[in-house]
Amino acid sequence: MNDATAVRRRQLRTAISYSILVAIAVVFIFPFVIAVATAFKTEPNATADPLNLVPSPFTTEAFSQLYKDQDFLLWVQNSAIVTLSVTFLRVFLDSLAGYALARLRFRGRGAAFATIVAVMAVPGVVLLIPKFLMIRQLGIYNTYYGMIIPLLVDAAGVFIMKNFFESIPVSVEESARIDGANIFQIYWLIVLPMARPALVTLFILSFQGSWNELAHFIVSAQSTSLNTLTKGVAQLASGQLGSGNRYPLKLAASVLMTIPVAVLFFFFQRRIMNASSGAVKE
Amino acid sequence: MAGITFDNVTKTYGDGFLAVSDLNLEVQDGEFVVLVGPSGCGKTTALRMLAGLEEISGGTVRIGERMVNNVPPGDRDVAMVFQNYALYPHMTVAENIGFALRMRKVPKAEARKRIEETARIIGLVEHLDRKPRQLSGGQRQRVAMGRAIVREPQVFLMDEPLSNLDAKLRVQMRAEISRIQRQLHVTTVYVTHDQIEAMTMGDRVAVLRRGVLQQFDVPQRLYERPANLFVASFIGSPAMNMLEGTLELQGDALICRIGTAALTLPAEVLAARPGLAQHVGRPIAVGIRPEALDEPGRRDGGDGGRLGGRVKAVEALGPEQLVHVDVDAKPVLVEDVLEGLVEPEEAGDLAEIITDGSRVTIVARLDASASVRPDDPIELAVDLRHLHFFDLGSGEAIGA
Amino acid sequence: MLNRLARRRDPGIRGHEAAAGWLFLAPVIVILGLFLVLPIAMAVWVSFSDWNGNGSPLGAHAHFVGLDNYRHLLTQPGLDQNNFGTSLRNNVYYVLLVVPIQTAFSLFLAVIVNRRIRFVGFFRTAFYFPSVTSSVAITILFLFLFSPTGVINKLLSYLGATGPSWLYDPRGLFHVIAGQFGVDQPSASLQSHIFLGVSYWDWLSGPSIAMCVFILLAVFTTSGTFMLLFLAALQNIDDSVNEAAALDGATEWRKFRFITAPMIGPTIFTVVTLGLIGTWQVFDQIYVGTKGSPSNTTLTPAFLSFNSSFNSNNWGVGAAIAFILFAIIVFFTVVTRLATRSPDHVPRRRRFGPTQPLGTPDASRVASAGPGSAP
Repeated sequence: MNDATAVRRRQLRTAISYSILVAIAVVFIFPFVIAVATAFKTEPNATADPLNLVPSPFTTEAFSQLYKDQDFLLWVQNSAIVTLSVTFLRVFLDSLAGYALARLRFRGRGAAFATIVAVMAVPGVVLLIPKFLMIRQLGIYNTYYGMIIPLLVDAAGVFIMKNFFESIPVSVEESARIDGANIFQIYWLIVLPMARPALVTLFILSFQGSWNELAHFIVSAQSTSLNTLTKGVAQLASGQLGSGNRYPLKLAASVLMTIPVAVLFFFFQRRIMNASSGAVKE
Repeated sequence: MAGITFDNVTKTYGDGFLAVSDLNLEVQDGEFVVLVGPSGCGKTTALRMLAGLEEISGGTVRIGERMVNNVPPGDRDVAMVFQNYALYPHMTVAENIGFALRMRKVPKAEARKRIEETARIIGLVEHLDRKPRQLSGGQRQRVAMGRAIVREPQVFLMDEPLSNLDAKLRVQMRAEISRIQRQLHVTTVYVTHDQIEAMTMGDRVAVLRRGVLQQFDVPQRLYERPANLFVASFIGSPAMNMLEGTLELQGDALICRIGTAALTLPAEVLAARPGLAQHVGRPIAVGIRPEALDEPGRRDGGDGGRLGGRVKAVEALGPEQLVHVDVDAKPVLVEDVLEGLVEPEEAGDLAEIITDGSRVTIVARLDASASVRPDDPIELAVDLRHLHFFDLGSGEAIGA
Repeated sequence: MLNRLARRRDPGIRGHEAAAGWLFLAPVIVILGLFLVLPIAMAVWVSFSDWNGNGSPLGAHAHFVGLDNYRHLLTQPGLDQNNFGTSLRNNVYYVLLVVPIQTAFSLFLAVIVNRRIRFVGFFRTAFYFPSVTSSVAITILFLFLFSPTGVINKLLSYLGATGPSWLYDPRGLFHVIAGQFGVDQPSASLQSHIFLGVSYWDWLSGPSIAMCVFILLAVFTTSGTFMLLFLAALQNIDDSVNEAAALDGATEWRKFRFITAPMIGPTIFTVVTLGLIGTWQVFDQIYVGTKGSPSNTTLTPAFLSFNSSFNSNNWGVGAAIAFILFAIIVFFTVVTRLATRSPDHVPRRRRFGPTQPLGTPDASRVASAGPGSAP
């Protein structure tokens, strides 16, 4: 074939690729757009005209209902407490453990690492009941402690930190040793500041994970005063099958609870997506 | 300020590998000693044992009068400059230099003073508030030096600090380091694989090979009186030509036959090396430095000192030329020699290049004015007073 | 030698490194032990007991009943077995549909996005965004979209079709399809033979229409994540390999089939494994959405385990279900690994990032440092 045909063929191929992608992207984005639109509709409007992206009338009633009739602010507060605690503590503890596994030499290090890997391989769902049993046994059921402490350990975080620490040249730490720094000083003053990229990644992933967590909060507390956003909104949603639909309310809640993670995501897109795809090294 | 003593020091790794074997070395207070040798020879291990970064498997290491085998690196009062500088990337130059002072809780005012003084010595006063990533390679290297200098330690340790610099900069920095060391008069142990660096910088040089000390002496004597085949091949650039020869007794004189050439050894040679008498009739290794070969007529080699061959290649180097000559002779290609010349992986290649069994290519250093062309036959005058002789079995120099 | 003598009191040149090491690891180890290891042991005990939620499971209220709970689930006909069998059937179809679809779809997306087009960032973001949101939000969203008078049915009506009542429709997909071909009634044998409390006919029902909504939800949520994994793998393939193939005259499809696909084999394995592990545990969406209805067709073992324990106080059965689920997951992981073990796959490359797929054990990765730096 001649050059012109080849070029046209390539252009056609690109056009097709684009259209497919755009079509799928629309399918992926559209639901969120509708959700936002519906949050500003009245109930009858939402039921009668679900596809319309323009609310008529435009109302913020759903949001004020969340604030007045539901304990939305309480849920936000609880989520904030739990998420921030888990995130900061996790970053700290994971980096400690990661450093020990990466750089400190002690008998049993290999075994400890293997244990962490093995135990974390147990699927989450299997652990629901066991965790509940233990939380109850320890007397921290229905408390913030019970909601926070079990979430503090995750193998992924330890791996991220361990791998990062291993990539720091040993000579920097040796230099600090010669300068007279002890182990904790080396960790705190030298290595940890150098690990900022990994720490940020870990922070974001932990924030995302704990903010979106549901099952654990179901089993670790039953008092409604401890409801996090996920649990509160879940309760909003369930039991509605068959009864009056309050879609604007529920969608408003969903949209609001997604905002923090969405903001974090858009700011740190690169980092998150790199970490996610780097989750499996082949 | 202190001397350093290695007393029968050994290092064995967990898998049985013997990195340093029975090292006995004494460094004088204020001396600049270089540890040199090919990779894997144990020089860095020895340095790290001195620093406290490696456990000592056997023997003792003393800094001053104090045995430091079990003293942590931070308490040994040594400072180290690493090959990759190991700067703290998140700290400024000033903070990098001042870190050790901070660890020792030196009051801020005094620390500031010492940091500025050090910055003046290394010439980085305007850069004190920069971070390492904003500096050039040479500047980073000087920060690494500054870190060591500010501590005023008893000992400076340097692990190939110049190998990451570009060639011309390296030459400058060599002089700088020497100057600073002389100015501060701190005992220094310097590790390098570059024998030129070793020879130009060290008060004394220790040559190591496979964990064993070969020779420890001032550079000049290493050059003039190498103790064995390895040292002879390792020191000097271009390397010493190593040929197989046999000694014959002709009346009172000793003749050394190399290939088809016969060199009559002058009496002073025999006087200096009485051991030669025992080696008559057996093949020995004869070492001839390229500098010891010349155009006939420029030196008085006399009748007993000619080596003939054909020119293979000529390298013009400004004031001199390196002439590669094929001569009828057998080369000495034992391990000792090869290891002194190249990395182990390249030994085979080297052997193939310089010999094809019956002839060997030697290198001669001639003045630029000598007119030599490839494929010319050539007669080289050998400076018989500067021949080296080695026992082929043990590799040891034949001397007293 | 000197080391052993030194270690007793004198910390030696490395200081109290061992102590520090354990101290640094302590929090993680303690929490792991307390909230993962011990609980599992407790749950094992509970699965062999008849505890009903009163007092402590280790106390007087719990009695050892041997394999009773497991028997109720697996061998004894009854409500427990019925529910369990149904939940298994539901989950099996969920897995069988979600895993291949999400793997293929995310691979497809990755291949197209990888074609060096503009706005790659935009597309990556768009496809990955659902993975960032919580299951609660997405489930509510889908409840809205798939309501009988909702968006999806509205769209279908524009195309001239009438959508089903989605989350209220318990009919199995395969049954519906068979019905189109006139197969309305099951044969007597299919109806009468029972396995795990569910008739063969019902085993062949396929996912219910309601379950299909969840299947779509799963694909929607996870495709982005797996697309990223595939993108990374695709970008690992050297351009020159593709160019060589092009010069050899390979068409797009052949290039993909013979060059690309084999080289991303390990990634495919990873995506499938992660998919299996995830789909067998589906819980959140059921809890928020249908809680098992209609007609138990969206009941999953994970939800059943939760429900039996927390709502019916039948803790022994709940725990037993959890462990059976564990066994199922391990089984599938092992089978997948064996099935995709290729003798000459492309060598692994180390990059920095966690080296473990979340949730799969691989003890061969445990490496301890060698004897310090070489001289």
